[in-house]
Amino acid sequence: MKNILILFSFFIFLVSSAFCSQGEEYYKKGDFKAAADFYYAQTLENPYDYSAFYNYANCLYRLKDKAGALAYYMKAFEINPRNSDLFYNLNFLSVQTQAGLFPQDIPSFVYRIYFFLSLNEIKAAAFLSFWTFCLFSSLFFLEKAKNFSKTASVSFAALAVIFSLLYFFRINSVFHSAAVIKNSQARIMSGPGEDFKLIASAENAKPVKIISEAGEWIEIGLIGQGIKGWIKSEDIIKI
Amino acid sequence: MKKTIGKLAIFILLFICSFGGAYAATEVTASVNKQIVPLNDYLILTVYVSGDNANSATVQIPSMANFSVSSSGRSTSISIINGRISSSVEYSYILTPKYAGKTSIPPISVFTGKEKFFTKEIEITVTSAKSSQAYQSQPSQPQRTSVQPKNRPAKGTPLENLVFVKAETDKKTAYPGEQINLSFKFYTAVPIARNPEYFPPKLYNLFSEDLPPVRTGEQVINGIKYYYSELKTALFAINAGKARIGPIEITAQVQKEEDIDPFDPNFMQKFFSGFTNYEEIKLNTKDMGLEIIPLPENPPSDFSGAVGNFFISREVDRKEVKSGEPLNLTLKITGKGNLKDISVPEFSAEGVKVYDSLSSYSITKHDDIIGGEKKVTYIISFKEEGLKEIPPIKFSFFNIDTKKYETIETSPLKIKVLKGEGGKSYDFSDKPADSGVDIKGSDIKYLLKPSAGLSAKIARKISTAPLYAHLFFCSILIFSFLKNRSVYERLRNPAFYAYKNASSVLQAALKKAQKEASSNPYKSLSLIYDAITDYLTARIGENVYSLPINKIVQLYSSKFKAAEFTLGEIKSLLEEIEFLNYASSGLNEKKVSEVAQRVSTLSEMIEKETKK
Repeated sequence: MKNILILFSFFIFLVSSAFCSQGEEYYKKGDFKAAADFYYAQTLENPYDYSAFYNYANCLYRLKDKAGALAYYMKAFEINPRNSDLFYNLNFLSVQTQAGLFPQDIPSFVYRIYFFLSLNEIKAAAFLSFWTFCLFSSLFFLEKAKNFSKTASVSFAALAVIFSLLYFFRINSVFHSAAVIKNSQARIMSGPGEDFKLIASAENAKPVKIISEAGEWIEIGLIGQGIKGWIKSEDIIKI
Repeated sequence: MKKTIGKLAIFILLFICSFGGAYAATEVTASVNKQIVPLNDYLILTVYVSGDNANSATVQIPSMANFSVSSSGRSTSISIINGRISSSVEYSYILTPKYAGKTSIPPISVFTGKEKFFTKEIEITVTSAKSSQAYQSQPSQPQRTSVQPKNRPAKGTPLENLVFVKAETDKKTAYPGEQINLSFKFYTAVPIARNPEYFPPKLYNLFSEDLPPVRTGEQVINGIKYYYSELKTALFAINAGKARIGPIEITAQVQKEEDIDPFDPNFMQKFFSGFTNYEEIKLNTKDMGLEIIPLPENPPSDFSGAVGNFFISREVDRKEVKSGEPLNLTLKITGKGNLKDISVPEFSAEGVKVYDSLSSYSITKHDDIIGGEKKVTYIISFKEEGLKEIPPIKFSFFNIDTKKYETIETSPLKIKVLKGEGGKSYDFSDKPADSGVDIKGSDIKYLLKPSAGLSAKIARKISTAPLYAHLFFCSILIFSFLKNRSVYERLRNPAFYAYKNASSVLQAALKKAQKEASSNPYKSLSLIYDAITDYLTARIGENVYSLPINKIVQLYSSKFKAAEFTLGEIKSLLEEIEFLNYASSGLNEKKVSEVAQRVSTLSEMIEKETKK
């Protein structure tokens, strides 16, 4: 049974390697459209694989779809913000499109620390800290290893608070509930419909914050502009 | 000490100065071409914004009761002097007065994304309408002539024949991005209280650009002479398919009587001088549909959607440059079309480093045709010395006049590149120059190897843990806390705890005794005795182990209001247990069970009597 499992794992590894090299082959040959299709399928197959999002974004960048590339780099960044190549590409495109994701007057290591964990990892860490706090506190109340359990429960309580605060700050960052303007001169209305007044138009590859949704209309906030309005869902790519 | 204070003062001064400099960087002003304007004329308001954030500034024109406002264009300019980039934007508006008299343009707010600026208030005097002679110097304003009596409307003519609106487009089919002119005319043969209020139409698959100013004139239709105002708007379709212009609404206040001549240049003043017999009317146009035909197939590879008729030229700020030094290469695209939305061509050449590109544009609306100039400045530098060539820059567009795609290009340009002075080079990237490494450009990083995404999966699983997972840990915590409290309470007040739990302890002991009864009736009886004395100790609150039976009964009766039967039963039961234990030789399981049953019944009576 054990041998069958090992063989099966090896087979899966071989198949996935072959498939991955196929996307890379397209990319190397300059067939970015085929590579993009391949990597897009990969993102659907494994939505936890940040590299699929990253590779797809690379293909979109080569196809001059900067809005799409920015959106998918941001998606990859949401899954794994620690990859240095991903951070480089995202920052590179952010500067190029003037998206302003990482203001250049702040050293990059500050972002690397702040974005060391993904939002899900922070939330998971907060939960784990809370659960461990519960267990150690229980030991303390049951008077088992009283001194150790007291120190441990206080430490984990502190960790749970720190992670919760970090989570609170991070859900307000540009990456959470975000979207990227897809179409050039996308129209931003004062309400969810064509009957409302046009209040602004936005260039493509501009990151925005999603505030609420009403059918095919989405309420957005233009980051750093202080402008709030409604945009058609077809004009944006949700992160 | 003095020196330190002096240094601190200088530092604070420099700090304040630096802030002062930063604020001075943004300049916002508003000006008008004239401060005295006749009622049938218009004035041009220009809002000028310069500084770092000029391009992203939002101008908020306040509502002005005495003026109809329409945008007449925007022009941006960018200058690069000694590596410092500064930009300025000019917004132009046409203001058409509604009433005569003194008025003002209130402060206009300009938000740069970081700060809000306000312009100064501008005083304006609106005079009565000019006479027909005065119009001769303004070809765009049609002359008014005195009304011929034969062209006056007959009495009893229905109001819909006296006041009406008309809207039409110059074409019914167009390509996406092609200009369509919408003309809206308001006709009146009766005096109106003031310039009518215009409500722009809702546009579907179209966006608009105002074509000011409002044109006025006279026209004889079916023998009636009308005064008309015409508003023009340029429309551009977004996508191929159907496009629609919604109804255009206008509200006007028309005079009911016909005492005042509508074609008198000063009829509005006469109107306001005491005549108030007027009514408000609303007029609408019908929906107008447009057919947007797709652009022809097989566009050039670099076509990015530009539609119009354009020309291209280029210039450099100098023809001799040192290697590594920046050179400004400016590409100009001029012509007709929606220049604001066209994508600028990308520039790259071998041996040339392109640091950045900056674009600016100015829009013109001559003869109701949207056009202008778009400038792109590429900041470039040459890596090596020698006579270098800037290759042609190509630009593709769909020529709206020939209905064909066209690719135009600039002519190549020779630049003499001299040997650069070490260290004197501009690098806009944040990477320090590294000796021995010649950075040729920058690009995104290569593909990544696939990842199983295990950590992301685990994090996702934990972060989306169901509510019962949290409740499980919380319940462990609550349980242990309650347990801890219970132990604490027991230790704090053992008598009360014993009192509360006496009955359950007794029942448990009786159960245990009955189990033992078959194998060892004496041990079982001893357990029953211990159980009843423990129970009485807990209930009475005093140790009864060493007390004689009579004393126990006395103590019980002194503490509680006990029934005679209960007291007798306590006494009889304790005596029977003692008798069975010490005197009887025929103790068996049955006897023990009977005693246990009696103890249980007695405990129920005591429970009732001793209930607190």
